[in-house]
Amino acid sequence: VKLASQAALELTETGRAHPGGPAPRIGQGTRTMHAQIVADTLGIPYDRVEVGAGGPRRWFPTAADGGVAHLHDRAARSSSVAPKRLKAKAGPPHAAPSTCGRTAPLVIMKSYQKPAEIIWDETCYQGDAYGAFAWACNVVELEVDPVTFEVRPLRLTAVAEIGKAIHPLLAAGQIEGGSAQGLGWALGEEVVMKEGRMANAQLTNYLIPTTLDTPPLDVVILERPYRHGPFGAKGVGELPIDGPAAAVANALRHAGFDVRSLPATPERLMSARAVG
Amino acid sequence: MIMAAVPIPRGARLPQIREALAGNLCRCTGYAAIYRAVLAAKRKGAR
Repeated sequence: VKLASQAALELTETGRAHPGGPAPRIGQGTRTMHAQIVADTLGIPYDRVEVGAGGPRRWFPTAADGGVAHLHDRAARSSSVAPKRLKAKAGPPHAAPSTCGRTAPLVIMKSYQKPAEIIWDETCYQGDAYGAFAWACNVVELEVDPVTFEVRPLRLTAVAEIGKAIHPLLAAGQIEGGSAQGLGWALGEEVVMKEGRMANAQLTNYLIPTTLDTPPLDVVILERPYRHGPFGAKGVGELPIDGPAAAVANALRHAGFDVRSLPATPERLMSARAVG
Repeated sequence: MIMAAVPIPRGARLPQIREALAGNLCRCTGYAAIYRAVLAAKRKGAR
């Protein structure tokens, strides 16, 4: 990983904007937020921005396209067709034009410029891999059945400091979803490995939380802008899933159970040493 | 999830909605946004 991500923006003759970059979309709302950022910065209506359309879609092979390239490579090897020919068919990955002609689209391509105070050693892989960190705090309220050792979460509060919530509703949704997954990890989801394979790879024996297992989730978003982030944003991503399990373990400790491994199933709770 | 939400009566409150949707799994939302949507759709006077 080199700190040299690229992004491109194409402005068409009809006044539309096509931003794009090499990162694949993985369903966390980046498409919406990138469009918001472009629309806000350019001062154009949101519906004039199409993420990943036009030129940028061709210049940046997405993760899926990478897979296609890999398949091409394998196909070339097995069929003894020169890989060059196949690649030529797929088109060069960086055919970025920069025409500023009257009617041609305007194209801007930029690379990430590492701020000077961020130190990163590419060869030793040491330093500040991230320019800023988002922070979170989780509070879990739960009850334990003293007979069955079933744990029932009653309420979860997630406070997340993410720099700037570009789209507060999507950010809150990300935090809610991650919190629920974190609770599932804490209380029920156990991967059982047998001879190198997952032995319980079905939803009948690998149980994920249902509506009735998921307690009300309170989300509080705090914003302390990161000066190198877009509008101060740091990102949300995996942050919401990190804290809930630790909060559950602490809540169980508060309830008198010294749980040292997860998930905190009734079996584990039963054999957990009582907190002295 | 939508099919399970259809028969939920108008004016239903959260506990009833949770119960009605319990047979449907969702991995990413934590169900909260789904509740908000169903609550809004089942509000008295909503179309």
